[in-house]
Amino acid sequence: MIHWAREFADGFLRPSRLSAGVALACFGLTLGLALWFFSEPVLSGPLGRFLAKSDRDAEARATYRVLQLRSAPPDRPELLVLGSSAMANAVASERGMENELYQSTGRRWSVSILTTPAQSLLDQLTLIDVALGPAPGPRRPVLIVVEMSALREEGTARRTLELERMGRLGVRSDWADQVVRELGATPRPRSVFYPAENYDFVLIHGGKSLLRLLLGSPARVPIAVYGPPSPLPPEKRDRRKILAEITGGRVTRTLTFRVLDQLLRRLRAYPNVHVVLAQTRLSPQFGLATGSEDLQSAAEARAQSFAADHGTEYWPVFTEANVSPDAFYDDIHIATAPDRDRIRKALAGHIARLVKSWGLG
Amino acid sequence: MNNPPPPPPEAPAPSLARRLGQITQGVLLGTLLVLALFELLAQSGNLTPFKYQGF
Repeated sequence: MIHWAREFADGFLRPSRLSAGVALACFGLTLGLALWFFSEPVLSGPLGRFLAKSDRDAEARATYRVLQLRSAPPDRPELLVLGSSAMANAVASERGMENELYQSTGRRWSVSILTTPAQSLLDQLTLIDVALGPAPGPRRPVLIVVEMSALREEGTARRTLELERMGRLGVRSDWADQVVRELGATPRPRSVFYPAENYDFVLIHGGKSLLRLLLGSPARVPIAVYGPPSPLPPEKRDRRKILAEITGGRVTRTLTFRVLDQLLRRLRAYPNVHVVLAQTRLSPQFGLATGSEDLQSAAEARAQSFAADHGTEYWPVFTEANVSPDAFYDDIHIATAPDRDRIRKALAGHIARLVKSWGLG
Repeated sequence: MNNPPPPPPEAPAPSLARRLGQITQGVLLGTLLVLALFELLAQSGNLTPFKYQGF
């Protein structure tokens, strides 16, 4: 046995023609595997679950979900939830939301939570565009909940374009490219070849996703990634930064509403698709500590007025769910189960009312 | 009369264990090279995963 191990080690440690040949063949095979894996048909199938490089890779999760929706649309009413990590932490569970909707509407729904950290409006356009496919879109009713928040740090054109250039999502959209052009920039190149069209995304994910695929070990990405059990003490909360983001958003809020307006216009071509705006809120302690209650209320009033002007619904779910001040992990993310339950219930209540008006309830 | 020189002794055929070692080296090298290539291209393009509030 020792002799066998010594021989093996000798072969393993020394360079040889055989190992060089095998290395070359494996290099080609793995490269081929990578090109095969990073293609839409594969990523939208069961192997797409290997795309997430870590359990915090919400962008890969959202990418996988919309590709799934495009390739195999559900045969029941559908709810898409878009927004930032604040919305993710509030709704927290697709299954939980589906159960709540079943209780409220008596129908089985398919819920897809497509939230990503600091999700920009361009991300939202992209995810919705991919999930729905070309107009007239799906026959099933699709309800899209878009988060509204005073905290829109992606609000400036510069920041919006900066986030877009990062290629955080592994999908592309003509709608988003159009907005990029309107902002005076050139969209990233498009191609029928997935790795070329999503070059940055593939490079960032490539190594780790492939390794997970080869080891058969997918990352499980929870929707509510923020919020360990114990809340962050006030001195560790970066309130100044959050406040700066809110005030920064004030200057350029027209961009937010312009893009939302464009989204609603585009969706007019989809007879069964409805958009509603759902408001998230920062913790009451944040408002008190920074004196920003008025700023938040003003942002909410603008969202409400936008919804009224565009004939869409506005749901202040955090206020309706009576979210407790202790529910927050930091000033943004909800971490307690009862508060999440109440938020899902508030959402489901609105949806039940809405589907009844459609004659489905 | 000179006798022809005796043929050189043949190198002993590598054992199965040695071949397995060589193949293992090749498989690991080839696979890891692709993973390294991705990292290298990402580094050279100054691409880093998006991080927001530690995520």
